[in-house]
Amino acid sequence: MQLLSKTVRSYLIYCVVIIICSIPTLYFLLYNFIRHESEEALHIRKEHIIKSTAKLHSIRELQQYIQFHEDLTITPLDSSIEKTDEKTSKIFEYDSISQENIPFAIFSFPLEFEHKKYRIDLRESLIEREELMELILSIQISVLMLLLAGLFFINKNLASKIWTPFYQILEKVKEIEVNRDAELNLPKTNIREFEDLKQAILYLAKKNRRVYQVQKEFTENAAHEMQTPLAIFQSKLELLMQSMNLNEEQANLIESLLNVSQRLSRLNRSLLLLAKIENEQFIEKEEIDVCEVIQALIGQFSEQFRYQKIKSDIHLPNPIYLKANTTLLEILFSNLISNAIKYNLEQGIFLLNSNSRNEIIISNSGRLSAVHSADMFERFTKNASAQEGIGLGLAIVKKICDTCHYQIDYHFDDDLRLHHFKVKF
Amino acid sequence: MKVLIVEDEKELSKSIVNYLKQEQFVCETAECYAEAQDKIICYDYDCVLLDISLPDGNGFNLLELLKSQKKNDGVIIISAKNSIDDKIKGLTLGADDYLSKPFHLAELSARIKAIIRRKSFEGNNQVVIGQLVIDLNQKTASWGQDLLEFTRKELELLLFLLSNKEKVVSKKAIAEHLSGDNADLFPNFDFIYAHIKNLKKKMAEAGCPDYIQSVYGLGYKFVY
Repeated sequence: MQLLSKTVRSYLIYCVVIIICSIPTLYFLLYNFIRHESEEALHIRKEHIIKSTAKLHSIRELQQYIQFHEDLTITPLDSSIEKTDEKTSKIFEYDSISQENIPFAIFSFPLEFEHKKYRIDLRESLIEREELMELILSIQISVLMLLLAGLFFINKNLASKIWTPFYQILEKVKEIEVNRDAELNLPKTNIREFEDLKQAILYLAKKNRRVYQVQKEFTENAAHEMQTPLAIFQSKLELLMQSMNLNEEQANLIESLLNVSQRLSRLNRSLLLLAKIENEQFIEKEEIDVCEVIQALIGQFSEQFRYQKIKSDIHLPNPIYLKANTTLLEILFSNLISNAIKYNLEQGIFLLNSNSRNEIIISNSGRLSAVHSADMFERFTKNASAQEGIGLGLAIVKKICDTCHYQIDYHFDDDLRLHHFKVKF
Repeated sequence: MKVLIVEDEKELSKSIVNYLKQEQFVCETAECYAEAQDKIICYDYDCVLLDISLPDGNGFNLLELLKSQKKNDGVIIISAKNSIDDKIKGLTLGADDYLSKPFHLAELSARIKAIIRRKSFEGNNQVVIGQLVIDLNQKTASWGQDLLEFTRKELELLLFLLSNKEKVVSKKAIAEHLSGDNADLFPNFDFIYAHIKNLKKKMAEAGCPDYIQSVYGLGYKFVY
């Protein structure tokens, strides 16, 4: 979720809750207040009526008085049966002018006149009161709505304006590549937090580049420092080989040493390659057909296939176009193919297939049955029966797949007794 | 034939001198940039072996110097870096070959000879040992009047042994010469034995003496 929508959402939720709670509260408060006020007014009226009627002298005058006031009705009470208290009730009466039922409040109170009991009903239209309430409420709702909308837009606009430098910085940071020397051009901002962030990122990027440089230099130095003594060692052995009157025992010793020096130099080469891939030093990418790369590699391995009499079947019907580093792809597949040859049987089987799901599957027969696949791609877990390997081939394969975001899987087919390596692009 | 070895590692350059000296090469060495610069300016060499990383300078600059002097010296870069970028840079600057450390002296010797042959026998690129003639342009070999029907690998192998005449060449060096990095894939060196056997058989059939000797399990030697 975007940071912006998160804050805006919180505001919105708060506003909606406030509105939902405030409208009924406001309604009841207003309602009670107005009712209370109008009851008070009725009581004042009652006092006034009682005072006025006290001045009257006959029942006739009282009736005139009642008739004169439209909102009053008088009902004589049978004093022995009915006992009246003050009470307020609400009725609806049809109004012919507005053609609707209009609410009225009826306030009844007893009145004694010339020793007789009467009940006075005081009628008061409630329509103004309710309309007033409606008006107040609708004004209230629209104000709140306006407030909400305003809050929403201001927040959205303001926030997006405030966060602009942050998003710009984020975009720039995404583009950072340690192996590029280009200076980071982060946008200027007058917000202190973002300025701090910018400085921190610049510092980190600089430090990263520095570390990368040092690591790269170390890689190169390691190569130089290791390869040179190895070269000397090997050259001395070759000179020793030329000495006259070499006996068989000496020749065997020299041969063993030669093998060791070869293994050392191969190990060194592989470790350096791993370091290079880890350092992501293979960055140039181009549009290539993987199948074409593989076909070319197969050609280079033809002699090994012939020598071990391996029956090979290569089936690459459709090109698989990728944007990738050619060298890495070559290393990846040459390691997989050479593995399939190295651990194969005499007159074994080698299959290479591609499918429409952008997968390449390399299968081979082998001396071993299933290899524990979790360790398979770890460094230096080599097949005990194959002394030639140095245990880095599949680690390199895995490393390449990881850096290029390919998926590599291994499984062993018990029925066909084939090892399958599947690369998914 | 004069060879200049520009290499700061004394022991390595001593080995190279030692090996090449036995093949009638006159070797001179330079251990630093300044020394190499002087020698390149003052003398002509048939071939210069150039280490890229020198304590006081970069071998590429020496290569540029050589080319700016319009010298015809062949140049082989020997580098510990084995990086494709360096290789491309070296070859574009005009180096003739690139060899990454560690290398076999036999391989180095064969490459020096190949370069000198290319430079000095313009067009007519042949290796002649008595009656045995290898035509490098035609990729053929003949004994006297008879054409020897070698395969490409057999011819390469013969030429490699010839380039290291009177020297024991290890099977490993042969394997790498013939298959490059793929040499590691062969479970053993029997394939070299097979090639040698065929080579000897074909030469014997043509009446060519048995020049190729096996030295215990170590390797082979061309004896003339």
